Amino acid sequence: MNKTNHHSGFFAVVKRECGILVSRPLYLFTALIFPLFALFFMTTIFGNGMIDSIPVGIVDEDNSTMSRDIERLCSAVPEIRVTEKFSNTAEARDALLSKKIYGYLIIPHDFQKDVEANRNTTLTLCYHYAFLSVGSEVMQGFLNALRIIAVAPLQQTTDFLGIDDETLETLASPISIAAHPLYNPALNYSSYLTFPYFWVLFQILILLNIAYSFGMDFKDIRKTRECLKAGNNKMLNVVFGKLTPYILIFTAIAIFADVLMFDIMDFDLHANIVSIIAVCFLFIMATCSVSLFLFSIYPNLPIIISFISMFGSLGATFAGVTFPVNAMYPIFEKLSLLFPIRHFVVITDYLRYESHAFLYCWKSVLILISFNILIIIASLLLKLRMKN
Amino acid sequence: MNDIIKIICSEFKAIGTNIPILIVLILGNVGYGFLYNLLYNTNVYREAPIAIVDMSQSDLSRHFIDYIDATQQVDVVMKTQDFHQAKEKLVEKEIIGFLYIPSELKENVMRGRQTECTIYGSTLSFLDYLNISEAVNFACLEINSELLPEMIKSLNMIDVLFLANDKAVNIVSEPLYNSTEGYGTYLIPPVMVIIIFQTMMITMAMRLGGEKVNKTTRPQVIKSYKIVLGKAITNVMIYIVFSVFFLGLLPLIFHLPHLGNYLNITIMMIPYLFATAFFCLCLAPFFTDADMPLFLIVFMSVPLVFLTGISYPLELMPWHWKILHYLFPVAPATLAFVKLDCMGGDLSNIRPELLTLWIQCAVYFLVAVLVWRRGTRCINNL
Repeated sequence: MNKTNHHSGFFAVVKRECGILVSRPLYLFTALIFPLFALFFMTTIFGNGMIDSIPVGIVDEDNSTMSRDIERLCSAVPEIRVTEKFSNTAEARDALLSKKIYGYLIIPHDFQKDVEANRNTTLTLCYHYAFLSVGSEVMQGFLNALRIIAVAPLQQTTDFLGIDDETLETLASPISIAAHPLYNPALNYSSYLTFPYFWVLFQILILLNIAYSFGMDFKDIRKTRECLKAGNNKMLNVVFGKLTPYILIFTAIAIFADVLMFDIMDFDLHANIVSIIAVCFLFIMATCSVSLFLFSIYPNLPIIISFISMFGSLGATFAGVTFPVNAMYPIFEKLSLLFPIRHFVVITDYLRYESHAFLYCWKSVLILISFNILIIIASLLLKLRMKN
Repeated sequence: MNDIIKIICSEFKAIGTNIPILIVLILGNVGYGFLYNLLYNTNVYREAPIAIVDMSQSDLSRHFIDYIDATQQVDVVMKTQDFHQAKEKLVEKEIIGFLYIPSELKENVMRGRQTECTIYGSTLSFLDYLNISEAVNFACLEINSELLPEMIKSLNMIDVLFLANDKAVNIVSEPLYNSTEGYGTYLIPPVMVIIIFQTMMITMAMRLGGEKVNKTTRPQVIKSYKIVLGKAITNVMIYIVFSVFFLGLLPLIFHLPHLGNYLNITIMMIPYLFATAFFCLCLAPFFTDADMPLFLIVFMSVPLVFLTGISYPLELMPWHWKILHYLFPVAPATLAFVKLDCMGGDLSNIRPELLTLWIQCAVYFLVAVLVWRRGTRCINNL
């Protein structure tokens, strides 16, 4: 008999919550349309994901055959595209400030003469480092283009002596470096950021949706009573009943997002898609728990919603995707462990790029699961508050 | 004019007595401002742990490793001859990458042959990869220039010995506008401008939503343009104080780049704050209660960082996202602020952004007036 009551209570709350969800288009937006917008945004914002053909300039103070050769070399590398030519540095700086270019190369006066006369000479490349990611690509592009120029003075002598280019290359760089970027060999920004940042955005929405849903029922004693009545006066029925429709919607979005990214867009995935969907489900549960827990500590909707917004936004930093958390102060590194997104990123990095992923990330999986304890604590806290 | 002053006074009173709004205004702004600065205060990510798989075990390879270890980008925490052990450490995230030096390094140099060493770097964070790549390439340049005379000797040709005297062209790279090459000094200045936008939108939206719930409206005799102006001026006045905090005080405390002069920054901030206020007032119909607005605004925080074009070049984004860049006042304002304060530009350099902001001001003001006129009419009908 008790069991039947329990079930009817739980389902009654689920039914009530579904009714609320469809009662206002706004709820549909926050629970369904915003996450889909986030997915559309993160999968399209980076274009093809490659930072290439960045506009750069050349300050040609020499105006010689060699300086024109340099321009040709620079135009030949994929990272950069020579769009402007300047006669002095001031003009180049101005173009840089106006964002027409992201870097420039200075070829000094008498460059060719100095090279031919075997005198010390310097090429200076300046790149925009207030835009860090573009700046480093520009620098790399210029360095790739100029590798051959660095040995130009030697080349004249070796040409004269009949030494071939291969030997010259060996002479100039007896040790050469081959780059083998693991996991994302093309250094593609879309592969790098789309997946984790979609989840950063999604966790903000999960946190807010849950806190808002509970806040709307708990800020009004009449609604709270109605809710408890539907749940047979059992707080666990209320909590799980209210969470269930959201968890189902979010899981459906997660499945769609994973299929889109790993099946249709073909992002790398070492594990099978079921494992990553399972981890996404665990993350959704953990994030719901955190949101509910924070709400139960201080169930004042406007204040807790503001706090949760801040918590969610900090997830973008503590996910550790762009700036590694171990490069922050140790206290922040420890603080990041309180954010489910941190553990989620660790787990999914392994799932995406390594075989036998769970061997390495089982601890993070356990932590993610243990976040669910917060649901029980939150239920107790809310129950206690109701009694008071 | 009197009506506008009356509205400003009543807005100040309403905001000053609303605890949640005050909390966001004071604790939110100050907390956010300090927290973000502290998070990235380490600024440069250096001494990333790497390993070396040294199959050569020669004096030359040890010399090369010393050069790598001496760079500030990396710290050689492990030397081994076991490739799989290094790979395992990388997977366990104890190191961010490793360099493989083949066994024939020394022999090759003596015989005048080239040796290829391979960087295996994790790209889970691009900063990690940048660190190992920069450190190894820098060390390689150094050691190659040291090895040149030896390599020439190995050619065993008397007449090429003088080659050793030939000078290579120096290539000097100079990062501009971020002399510490730090991540914090790159990210924080734009983030400060974005926080201003976000918290201003949040507090205004909380007020507008609250007003709607309590059905408190202006007396119908007041014209809508006066309401719009009154509300906007109040929030701009409040946010002038916070702008001084975010863009004047915090850069001084946390030693952020600060090359711009205050007059130019003020000239840029005035249309920015007004455009933001009018933009928020245009969205008033969507703010149905005091809490819902946070959804949209907080959710947009990360996309806005991308839309400014600071972290990913605007030129490479699809056209529909470029349009959004011109719709949100925060995007041109962030670019303009970076140009002024981080790059030392002047007003002539931010002309396009200023123009965009003033156009936004005008358009959003007109739309806000229309929205509020309609809103008043609806309320009159109730």
